[in-house]
Amino acid sequence: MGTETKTKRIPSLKVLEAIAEGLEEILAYFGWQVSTASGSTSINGEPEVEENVLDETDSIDEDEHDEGEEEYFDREEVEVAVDAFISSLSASGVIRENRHGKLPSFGTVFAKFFGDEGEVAVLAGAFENDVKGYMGWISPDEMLSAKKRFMSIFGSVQEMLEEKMHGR
Amino acid sequence: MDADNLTRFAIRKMSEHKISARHLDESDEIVIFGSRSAGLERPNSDIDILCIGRSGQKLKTASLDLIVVHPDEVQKANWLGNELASHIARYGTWMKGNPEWVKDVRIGSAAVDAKQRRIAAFLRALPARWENFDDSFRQKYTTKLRRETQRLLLLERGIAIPPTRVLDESWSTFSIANREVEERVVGSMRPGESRFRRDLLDKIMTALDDQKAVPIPFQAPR
Repeated sequence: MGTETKTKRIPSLKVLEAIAEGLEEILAYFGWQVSTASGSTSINGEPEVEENVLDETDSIDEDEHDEGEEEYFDREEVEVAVDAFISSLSASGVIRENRHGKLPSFGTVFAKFFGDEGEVAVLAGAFENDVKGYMGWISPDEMLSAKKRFMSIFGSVQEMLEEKMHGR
Repeated sequence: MDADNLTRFAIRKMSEHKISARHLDESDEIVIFGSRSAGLERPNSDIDILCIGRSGQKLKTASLDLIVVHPDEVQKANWLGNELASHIARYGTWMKGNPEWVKDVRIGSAAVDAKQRRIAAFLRALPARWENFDDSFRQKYTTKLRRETQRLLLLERGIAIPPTRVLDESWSTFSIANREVEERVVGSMRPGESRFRRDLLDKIMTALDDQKAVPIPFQAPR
């Protein structure tokens, strides 16, 4: 998948496994959906629905989407899961602090292992910007874009892992 | 930095980031906000710019944060009652256009609810991760939860959110006791989670108690 670029790389199996495992944990936080058939979402990126409606729609199956239904996620939980992923890579020695004692960001981790201009790294950098928001504000477009980008990253890493494991 | 210099600085930054003149021409309003607009920037502070227009793309870099909002959106209750709109209405410097919507800005219950949900979400997600977090993330979330709780207390009082530096260095400006910040964090926590609770509260209270006795002088543009 994806477009080949000059700086595209594929990391070792060990690193790919660590990244894939961490991404799978983050993926768990992208699950819930709400009906936005009215097209109404608040400026805070929060769907304009009551809490109990969220509960009811929590278990809707992927295949049961109505037209106008969009997917959102709890970006605080995603942010915490992303930082846990980076902490875990650091604890297992896959990444290290830079000379200023700072751990790399999500986008930088992917740039390091997949190349600055690798498709996965570009997606990871854009995903990082999407979920940041501003003063608690995030647009519905950014929410959707973040989810799509994360899914692409996840899919690409899984594909690379498969290829590496089967020696292709 | 006075308004003219601020505007020149903003134009230079946009030009450096290849924001086209057409984009600026087509915007109904262009507003500088955040620390630079309030005169509270640090040497490496970015510049925050809002463009109200029908075209253009957001941009987020280390030195420029550009957000784009459609003109129809700024007339809606969702925008007018929102935390960011209230900040811009209070602290923004208009480079272009007339801030007509500003008179209709009211911090609404939706903004307060959204902030409460955000704090609750962090407090729900963090305890399980706390032990395994790198120290830098423990510090990051301590700071984030303190600031978000400060913002919640201000929103509840109908006060526009000031630049972050005011929360970090001049909290006494608002005559809200440090203890109230602590109580709100504790009130949002679940029982137990002792290390998480102890770490968080110790660091939050230390940051608040260590603020300078003499607050930084800051003058809001409006």
